Amino acid sequence: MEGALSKNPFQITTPEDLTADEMISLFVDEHTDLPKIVNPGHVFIKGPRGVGKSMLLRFLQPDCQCLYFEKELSQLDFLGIYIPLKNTNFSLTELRRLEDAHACDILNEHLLTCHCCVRVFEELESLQLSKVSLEDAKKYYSDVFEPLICNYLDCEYNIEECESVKDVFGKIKVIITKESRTITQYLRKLAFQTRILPYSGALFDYIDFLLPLLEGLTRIEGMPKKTVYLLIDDAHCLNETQTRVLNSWVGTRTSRKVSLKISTQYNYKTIYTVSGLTIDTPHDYTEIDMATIYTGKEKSNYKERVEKIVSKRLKAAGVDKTPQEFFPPDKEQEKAIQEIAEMYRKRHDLGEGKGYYRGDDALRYSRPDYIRGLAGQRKASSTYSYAGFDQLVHLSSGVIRHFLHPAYLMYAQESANKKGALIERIECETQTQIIRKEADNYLFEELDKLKNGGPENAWPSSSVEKLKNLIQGLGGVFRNILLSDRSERRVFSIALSGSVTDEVKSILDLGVQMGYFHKSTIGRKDSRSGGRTALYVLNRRLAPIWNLDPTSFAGYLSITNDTLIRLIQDPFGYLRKLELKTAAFDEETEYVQLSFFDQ
Amino acid sequence: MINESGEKMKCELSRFSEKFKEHFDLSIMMCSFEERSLSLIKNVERQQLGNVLIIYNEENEACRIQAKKAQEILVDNCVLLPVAINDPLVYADRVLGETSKYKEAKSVLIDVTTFTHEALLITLRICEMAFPKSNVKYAYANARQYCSDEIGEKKWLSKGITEVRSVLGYSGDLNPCNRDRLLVIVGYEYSRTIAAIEMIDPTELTLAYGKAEDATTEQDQDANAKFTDLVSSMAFAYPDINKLVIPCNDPVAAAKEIVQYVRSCSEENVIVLPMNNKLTTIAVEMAQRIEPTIQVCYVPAEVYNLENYSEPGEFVYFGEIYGAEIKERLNEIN
Repeated sequence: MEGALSKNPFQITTPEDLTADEMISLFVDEHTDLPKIVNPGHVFIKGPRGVGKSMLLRFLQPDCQCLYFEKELSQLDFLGIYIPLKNTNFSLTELRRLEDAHACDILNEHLLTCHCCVRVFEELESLQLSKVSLEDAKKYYSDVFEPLICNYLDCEYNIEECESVKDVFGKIKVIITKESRTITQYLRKLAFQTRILPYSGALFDYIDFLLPLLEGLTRIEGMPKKTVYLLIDDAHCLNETQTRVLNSWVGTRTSRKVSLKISTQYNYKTIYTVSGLTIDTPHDYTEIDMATIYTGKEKSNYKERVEKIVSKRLKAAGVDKTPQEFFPPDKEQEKAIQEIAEMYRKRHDLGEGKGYYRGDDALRYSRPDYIRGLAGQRKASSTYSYAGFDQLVHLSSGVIRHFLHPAYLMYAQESANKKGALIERIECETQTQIIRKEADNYLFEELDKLKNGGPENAWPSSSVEKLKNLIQGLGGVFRNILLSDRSERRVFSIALSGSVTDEVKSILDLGVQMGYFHKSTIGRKDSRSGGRTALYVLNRRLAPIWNLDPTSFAGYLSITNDTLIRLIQDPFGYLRKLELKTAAFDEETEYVQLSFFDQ
Repeated sequence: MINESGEKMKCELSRFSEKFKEHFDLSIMMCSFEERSLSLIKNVERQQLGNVLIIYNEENEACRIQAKKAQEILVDNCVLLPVAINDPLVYADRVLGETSKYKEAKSVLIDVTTFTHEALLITLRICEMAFPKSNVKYAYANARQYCSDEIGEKKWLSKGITEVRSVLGYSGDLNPCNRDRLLVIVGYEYSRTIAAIEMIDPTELTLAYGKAEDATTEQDQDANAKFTDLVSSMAFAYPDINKLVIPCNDPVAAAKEIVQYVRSCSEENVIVLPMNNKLTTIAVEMAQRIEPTIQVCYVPAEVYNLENYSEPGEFVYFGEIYGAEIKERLNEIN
């Protein structure tokens, strides 16, 4: 484990760099949707950066599968080949010369196919192949590979000279790499040409080249017999033409033999294919949103997952503490909150409780009351401590990286403070300090520095400014609610009451795309005929900015388009009026309790 | 200031014509929103510059205004060339078209001062193609300081990035089986640098920076302190960040360092992101000329500090980019 984790147990290591042993020791299988991913069929795995998509794909590679299930290669249910697309050959500026030009789709498909093929045989070369038949491998070369490529071979390759299966796969890789360089060299020539040059190299595609190559692998003795999975990572890095090509692959009904497991962030370019059709779920592919898994109904699984991940990392670092012990809460604060909770339970016993169950009011009001108490006469909101494993899990908002990164910083800070001594806990003050700083960075610096997309869908700076206004406005509103006398003060989300303008929708969509909101749907409470409306949940990483309670939310604010526009245009003006109670806030918005089925 | 070959490379702007007596058939400059765009032409004798091509970003009014000012200073034999700076293909085609009118030019000067990194790299390659037998030189007017109304980490030159793209003509030769190493030539723009690194998300990371004594700005030469902050902030995802020191005032010497470093990473795809001054960008062009496997990329900024980007300095750096002498010096690196 020392190889995977440097001194800081929360250091991120790219999954590609993890050995199978390290991977198995770190990987936590708390995915309710893992069966959907490992069964044959095309799958899109969506989620923000850091949610664990690449770790999941790494787990599906043969070396990890063999180790985890204690199986031989031939016994595996599938052969998973990792195909990273974060390769800057796909974003060559020269490729723009082909746009709207003859054979743009074909050349991009050739580029993508070559990339996949080279990666396939690179990975096969690295496998434990001692039990794979050399004779079958040579037969694969002569009967499957050679007929596909014979027109492009400029010299004969004597496969009989190969002494191992690794040599055979290595030879295939060399040949395809050569063809792959032909296309990139061609693209290089286009740089300063105003007309398209003729292309005379090979043209490979999915149906006639890649599929037969992959299917042929399953007929080699010693290889997995069933399906080949292409584990395609970071598909959002493709340009629009390449994305259409990939969608065309998804649209082919070949998933019994070759399945595509595609990971992407939310800015995947299009669902159209090269022929202008769309790919649809569920009959072309299954879609899994990893962020939804961990913020929706299955959020309890997320906490368990984080707990297991942190436990494994601490153990590997030689720290004999549970995550709760390593990230302790502020004892005095928790004691004060428990005292308030106990008071509510006693009130319930006396028949003065609002909730049905004895613990309802305690859960609903104790922490908000404590925070309100800090804000009151003491004016000490900023002393609210976000320390404690539970709070840190909530603040990470369903993305494991957003737990690990602050944890990394906390550990580094603690190491600096304790000058090389063994770290067995992170002090509360350190936890809160780092969390507050990260919240500020997330809102103020991240919005300034990063935008998604390329020139065809880049967001103007005015939209980013509006998003910042909206977030600050909503944060202020939620703070206002927390400090109020409302029956439910733990509000962290909004639902749209009525229709919204295109501008407001675009700002909300930008917020979702950039991870500041998570979008879901909720039943319309005002519709007799049912139907649903969009629900936007603010990212809990932002909670410390307004000293909000991150541990749960049980309600949402039903909010009109007009209010949203006012927040977008002048959030602080609106909040000032709110504080003075001159805004018709209660008329424009409505708190709605989430039902059991919505949580 | 003298480079490795004993060549005088730096002098006061006001003494440029006195020190460097060459006359050029064609001069190419890019006017940005910075006052520095005009530093060289204000100080050089008009007849030295020959025909002048004034490139400017047609989508930015401040750039257009500077370009007009340049035209007023130069009076005649100058051509304004509006370009779409954010479309590298359109940029390249327009500059190619315009430079083809000066095929007979035997000596060319490029005032690199306020080009964008991408536009400069593309223009250099175009000049190599358009003027294969000519002598092409650069001049770079330094900045006294950047973002003078802020101090320390509050300085900002640009914010936000819209995308990362390879520079046209610098696609390199990347092997899909190799790990990607991003070599960032760090400048002042830490926020944009971090965003670029996160967007490119390479497997390995190297940060190159210049020594204080080589800095071309007259103030704020202590970039190392901020460089350390950058390293710290990236350490979460990159525990083994390599560091490389390069001279920021001598393109050939910097090119040598870059080439030697790239050759030491033979099992990796090296992608270079130049974010320092234009002299180091010229070095990147030279390095890529020697090692065409290098890919060079660029991150267009979303917003620039138009009000207070830089203050013009008093010095100019001068040297050769294409010509017999530079060919010989680069062959030595080979």
